[in-house]
Amino acid sequence: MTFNDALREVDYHQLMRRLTYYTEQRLRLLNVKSLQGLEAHDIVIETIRKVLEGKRTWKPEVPVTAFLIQTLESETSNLIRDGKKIRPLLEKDNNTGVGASVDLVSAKIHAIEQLRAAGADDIEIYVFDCWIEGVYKPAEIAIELELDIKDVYNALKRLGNKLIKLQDNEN
Amino acid sequence: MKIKNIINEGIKNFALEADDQAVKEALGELLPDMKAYEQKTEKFKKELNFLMMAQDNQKKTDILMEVAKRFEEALLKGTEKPVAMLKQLIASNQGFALNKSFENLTKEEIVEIIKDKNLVELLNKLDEE
Repeated sequence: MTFNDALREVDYHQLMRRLTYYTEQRLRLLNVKSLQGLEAHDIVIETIRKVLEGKRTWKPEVPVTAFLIQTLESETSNLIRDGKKIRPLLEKDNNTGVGASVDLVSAKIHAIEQLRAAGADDIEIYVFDCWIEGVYKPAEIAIELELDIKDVYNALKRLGNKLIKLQDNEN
Repeated sequence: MKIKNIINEGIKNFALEADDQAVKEALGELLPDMKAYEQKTEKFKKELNFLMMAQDNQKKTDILMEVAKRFEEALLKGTEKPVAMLKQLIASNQGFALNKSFENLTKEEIVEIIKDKNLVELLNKLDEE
């Protein structure tokens, strides 16, 4: 199956919403409004064009949406690096071991304090805790916390917005 | 893992896994002008469809030319199986009248003979040679 065939099988508007949402939040997380003059929606469109032109290779075993989101993650990092000639703010963390665990614990405590101060409720805190534990999928979080999936979606939305704002304040 | 990376994973998974209604609402809260977003998205849809159709057509043309080239080479060399395949295709193609010797078929005439056939199947059969 070609990328074009796989792309035709997904709902176009749903796909664009998911990609644009992710890119919008990613730009906020990277503390920028646009990259090299491109806003989130433009970056999504440019990235799809690049894939169609063969500048990014899709493997058939990867779902189209997941592939495009991974590509957007990489594209935004590249744009920031090329634009500012600095290392991306998000990068692979090679800091492992006991020291790193202690760092993460203090970072987690600090983040929770800030979340509470920003008005986060218990569900948001529990969801954040899931993220720290490496549980990210909404359905898995819902099972873990024994919550209705809609409550998890709402909490994820609020949590994402609060954390991004808090990270922005720290920069 | 840095907190920023954790947040990135979180928003990535929301974008991937949440149901469409949840994503729609979340996006609506982020965008200042939803109408502008919808107009741009609709405009790009037309461009995307056109691009993909152009690529598909180009691909069909590339395969057609490749198969025609293989038959042309087979005619020059007198390779038995492709020549037999081509003779069978001519016999089954009522719209094509062979007014010259078989060996003098041009590439354009071969294209005319094969263009409506299953080209991928022909290519696979030629590869079996």
